[in-house]
Amino acid sequence: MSDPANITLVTMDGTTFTVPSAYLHRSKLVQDWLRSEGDKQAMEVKHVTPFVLQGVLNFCEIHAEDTSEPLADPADPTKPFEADPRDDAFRGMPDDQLLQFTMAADILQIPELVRLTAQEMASRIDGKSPDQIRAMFNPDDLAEEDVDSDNEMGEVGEEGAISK
Amino acid sequence: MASRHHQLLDSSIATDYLTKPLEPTRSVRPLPPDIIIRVISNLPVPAITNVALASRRFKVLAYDDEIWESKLRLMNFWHEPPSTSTTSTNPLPTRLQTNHSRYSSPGSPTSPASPTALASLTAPAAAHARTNVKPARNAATPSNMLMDQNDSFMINNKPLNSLIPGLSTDPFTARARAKSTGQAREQFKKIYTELMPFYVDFRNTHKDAKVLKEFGSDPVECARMLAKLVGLGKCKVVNDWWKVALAGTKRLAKYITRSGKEVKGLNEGVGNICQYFESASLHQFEVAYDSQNIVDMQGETEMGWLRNKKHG
Repeated sequence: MSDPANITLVTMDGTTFTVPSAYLHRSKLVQDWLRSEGDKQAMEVKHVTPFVLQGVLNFCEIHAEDTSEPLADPADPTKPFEADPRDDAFRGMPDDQLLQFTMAADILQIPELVRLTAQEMASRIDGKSPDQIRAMFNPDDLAEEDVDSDNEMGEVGEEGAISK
Repeated sequence: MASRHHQLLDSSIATDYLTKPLEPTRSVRPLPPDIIIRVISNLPVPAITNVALASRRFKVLAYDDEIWESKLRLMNFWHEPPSTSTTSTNPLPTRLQTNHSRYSSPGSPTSPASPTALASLTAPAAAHARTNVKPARNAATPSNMLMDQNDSFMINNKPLNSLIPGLSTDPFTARARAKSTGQAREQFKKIYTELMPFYVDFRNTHKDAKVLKEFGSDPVECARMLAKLVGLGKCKVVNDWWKVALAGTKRLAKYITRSGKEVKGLNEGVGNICQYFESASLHQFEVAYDSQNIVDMQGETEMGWLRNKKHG
């Protein structure tokens, strides 16, 4: 049993981060993991790079003391949204990083970060031409066929590698 | 799992698809459709067209029901499909009920009538309003069984859902969702087409609003239109695109910063007209009260109820 006050996260390349559990009380993924497999040493966070996880944990640290009601649905359009000056670092980051944070927020299921990233993405897309929008994203995000084949290749490849 | 991954990445058998995740700044896998839909939901309507033009995948996602449902919900035009709703067949009555209670509360302090007199008045008026509104609502929502439709929406001769890759296979994006039928979008389009001329009109005029010109003779219909316009105002239906129409005017400066501000400018126009309309109908009510004209009073209370739908 690991220290209940801290939690250790392992990114996809094996880098570990140990932070107070309280930081992650808004991450549904982490909370579910704590309930079901909390006795394990470390939690693996798939598909997240160390750089991005570092940023996500910074966000969590900033908001660890927040007392606001947890967001039930980050996409709820009826809830007004006030920009938080503490999140300015997230608003200023380059497009490709923002994409990764958007994804990490989704993976870790942190509604507040999901909302923040989605709205920042939207405000960047707003007013752009289709070509400019295309330039914001990776080719993989745009092409549906590639998406499928990429996923399949990844899975098959992984199994193939193990069998060797 | 952690160790397995680690081992894999260290090993020399890594091929293209295994080295790809190693890159620290590259996205590991494409954005799940859920995320893109969420981003699109935050966009003003004209910007969504640009997203749809960016790629075929985005187009498919931009047509997704979820985006348009959320807009309809904002406008209070959406009811949950019967299967998930608590009032299994028709959720309308409950909504009307809540609106009814909302309607009677602001009326009582401002009107000169005694509470008992008002109470006896409001009940029949509300009942009247209910029978009046129901068909109108049903007309605006051709089907409240949206999710149960078998005919799925087609793009390029493919059903919409089959064009959203990763939706069913990807564990991160798997969610309980019904087929996208495209009907929410059709419905939004209908409302949008109907209301836009009136909404955009608030850019130019504040006194002789188009909505008053065309519906002024029918106060009940006018109240209904105003309630709809307030709903539309919540949906970010305009953005920078509209600056073209305003280019060179002084008001452009006011709107220039962000689309949010711009929408507010229009919504202020709608709000002003609503206030004007409200005080006018309140005046009518007082006049009718003084002359003991019950029919007119009912008409005015009904309008107040319709107007107050905007708060719902």
